[in-house]
Amino acid sequence: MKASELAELPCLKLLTTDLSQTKELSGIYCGDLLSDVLSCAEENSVWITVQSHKNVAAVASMAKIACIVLAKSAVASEDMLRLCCKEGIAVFQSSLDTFNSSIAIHDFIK
Amino acid sequence: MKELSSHILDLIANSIEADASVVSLSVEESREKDSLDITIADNGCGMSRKKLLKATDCCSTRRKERHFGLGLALAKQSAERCEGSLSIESVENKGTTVKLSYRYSHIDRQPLGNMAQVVAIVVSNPDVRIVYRHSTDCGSFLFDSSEQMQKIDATFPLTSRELMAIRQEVEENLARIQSENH
Repeated sequence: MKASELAELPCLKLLTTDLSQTKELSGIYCGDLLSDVLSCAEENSVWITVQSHKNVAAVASMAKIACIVLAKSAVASEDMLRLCCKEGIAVFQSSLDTFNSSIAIHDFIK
Repeated sequence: MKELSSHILDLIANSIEADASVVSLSVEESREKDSLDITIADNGCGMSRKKLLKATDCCSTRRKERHFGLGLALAKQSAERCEGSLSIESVENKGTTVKLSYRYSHIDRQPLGNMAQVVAIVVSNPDVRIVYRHSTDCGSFLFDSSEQMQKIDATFPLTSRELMAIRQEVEENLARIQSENH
C-alpha cells in the first residue's frame, strides 16, 4: 500500500498537493511527543499526531516517515506544510481522533 | 522531551560545540511567582546577528551532516506550550545566553528531571567548567565544578566514585532547598 492511496479513505483529506508518494507504508505510529517519535517511529510509517508545528515536519523528515496524519482536524501551519512539501512528505487531515484514525488506516492497509 | 533536563543538556551541548570553556547554568523555581526560569550562558564563539535571527528555526544548524537542528526549536516549543518563552542573546567571540521560562504550574510543563545527572555528565568533560546555581522559595545553592574538583582532589578522567560524590552533593542540596520532587 502506497501513502498516496490513503486519500481514498473518507475520513482523510490530503493537504499537500503534487506529491508523488511512492513509499510503501510499513505501519502506523501514534505520538505527540516529538523526541519519542524521533527515536521510536519506524521508517516509512504513517505518523498520526495532533501537533501541527513546523518542528513536526523536521522530525518526520529525520525519522523518514512516509506521511503525516493530523488527527481531530488539527490545522496545519503554513510553514509546516511548506517544509513537508519540500521534504516530500504528504500531510493528511483526519476528521477522527488519534485512536479512530489509527483503526481506520490500519483496517485499510491490512 | 520528557523532562526539562533533556533540553538543558541539549543546550549545554550547543555551548560545548561552540568551544565554550565555562558554562553558567541557573535554575530558578518559584511556586510563589509560579515561574520556572532556566538560563544557560556560555563564553563560546557566539553567533552573528544573521545566525541569531534563525537560531530557533528547526531548519537552522551548525552541523554539515544534516540540515535540521532541533535543540533550540524543541526547547522553544516546550516553553511556549507552557505560557513561557525562549530568548537568546549572543555576541560573536564573546558568548551566548539562552533563557527559557515556564509557568511553573502549567499542566503541560514537563518535570525538571535529574539535575544531578546533568551536572555529572557535564563535569565529566575536562574541557568545560560548569557553574550551576539553583534557587527555590526555600533557599539556593551554588555548585562550581572547579571548586568541587579541588575539594575532592579529583583529576580527569573521573572515577565512578567521584562522579557519585558529585551527584550526591547536588542531590543533597536540591533536597535541602526543596526542589521539585525532593
